[in-house]
Amino acid sequence: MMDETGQNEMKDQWPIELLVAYADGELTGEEAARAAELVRTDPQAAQIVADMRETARLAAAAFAGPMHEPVPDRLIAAVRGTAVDEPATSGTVVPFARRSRARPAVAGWGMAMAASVALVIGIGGGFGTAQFWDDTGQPGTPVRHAAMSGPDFQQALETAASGVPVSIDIAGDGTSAEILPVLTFRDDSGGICREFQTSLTDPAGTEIGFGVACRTDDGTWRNEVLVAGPVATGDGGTIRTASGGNQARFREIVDSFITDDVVFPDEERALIDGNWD
Amino acid sequence: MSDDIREQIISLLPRLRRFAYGLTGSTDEGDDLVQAACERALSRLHQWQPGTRLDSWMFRIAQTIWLDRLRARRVRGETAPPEVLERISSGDAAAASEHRLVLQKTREAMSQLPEDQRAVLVLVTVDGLSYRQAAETLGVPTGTVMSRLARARVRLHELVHGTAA
Repeated sequence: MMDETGQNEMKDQWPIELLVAYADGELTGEEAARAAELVRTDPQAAQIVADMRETARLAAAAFAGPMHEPVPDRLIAAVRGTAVDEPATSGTVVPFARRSRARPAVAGWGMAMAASVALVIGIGGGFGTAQFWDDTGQPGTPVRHAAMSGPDFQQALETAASGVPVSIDIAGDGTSAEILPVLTFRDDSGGICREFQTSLTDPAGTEIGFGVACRTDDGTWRNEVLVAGPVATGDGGTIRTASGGNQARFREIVDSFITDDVVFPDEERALIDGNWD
Repeated sequence: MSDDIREQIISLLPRLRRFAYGLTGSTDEGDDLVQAACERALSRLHQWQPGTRLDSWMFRIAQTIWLDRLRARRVRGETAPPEVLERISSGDAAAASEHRLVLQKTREAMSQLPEDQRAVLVLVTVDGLSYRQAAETLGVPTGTVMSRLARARVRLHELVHGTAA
């Protein structure tokens, strides 16, 4: 919506801080529902969110250089005097079968990706038979998030209100993770879906994910999309990806699944209490 | 103990360099800043509290030094030298030229933002910190992060797309 009228109109007519925070995946519950509803019903609000995500991608790509080059010896010497390996980052979309909706638009990824990290994406396949591709169509690297489907995961989506983080054992194999339901919405056939964020940590490191799962007729939650990747090394346990640019892309994919009615917290509470019937 | 922290600082160097590049607009000036931050951190290791975030501590030291340098320049009547803006960074050398132009425009636009907005923008969009982590790093409330970040993003978009007044 960035036309000649520019900044003032944007600031006056739309809740910019709310939309930027939504674009960044910072909102849950009531605020997330409010922003998602605005984005769904107001094309200009949707454009603002898209524009704000673009700024995150551009900023991340514009300053990505130091992550892709060796650290100058003099800096290492300033700390200790020994060489160090450069941390590598990557991301993977764990694909699951979609239901009635079309494949989300992921156009525009290539540009920002070229200068940021080796981002691995993939969409398609089916639950339990996830496939992985990188951005050139070559087989990519699976992430541990692929196992995110166990009983604890089901229980969290079934019973936790949006905005309430829950610790789970992701696949009954002892890998612990935290899942944060972000918001609930109805898909175009009236089914219930929930957007969530996750982080899991095991001896191999920390991974974060953004996803959407929908409730099936038999009462189980099935992942529609899950975008996940490891966090950078040396980050002291942050639950974020190596760059905000990646996150903007992750969020964009996940948001493309939110096409219908947003369920606000009061109704969500009633739905949870009524076992989603 | 001290050796362990040195190892951790070394593993943070790529992110520190990226953060400093974002703050200064120059990898050379950024690396000078990182080196100064490392030296200051090592001289104050006793102030580091185990269990708190080392990356936040290092980022904050780097940002404090950078603000001091800017202040000193202003006192001396200098402005940020235009040559601190690099034309093209090595990290995106393989990208298409149009892409490079957009990224160059982005770097120039970032350099025009107020210092407090730029720091928040780099921490959240470049380094990927959450708002809460960025607030802790800068020692400001989360609400301040939100408002600075929103202003910075709107302005960045306007500058990159040439719609600024």
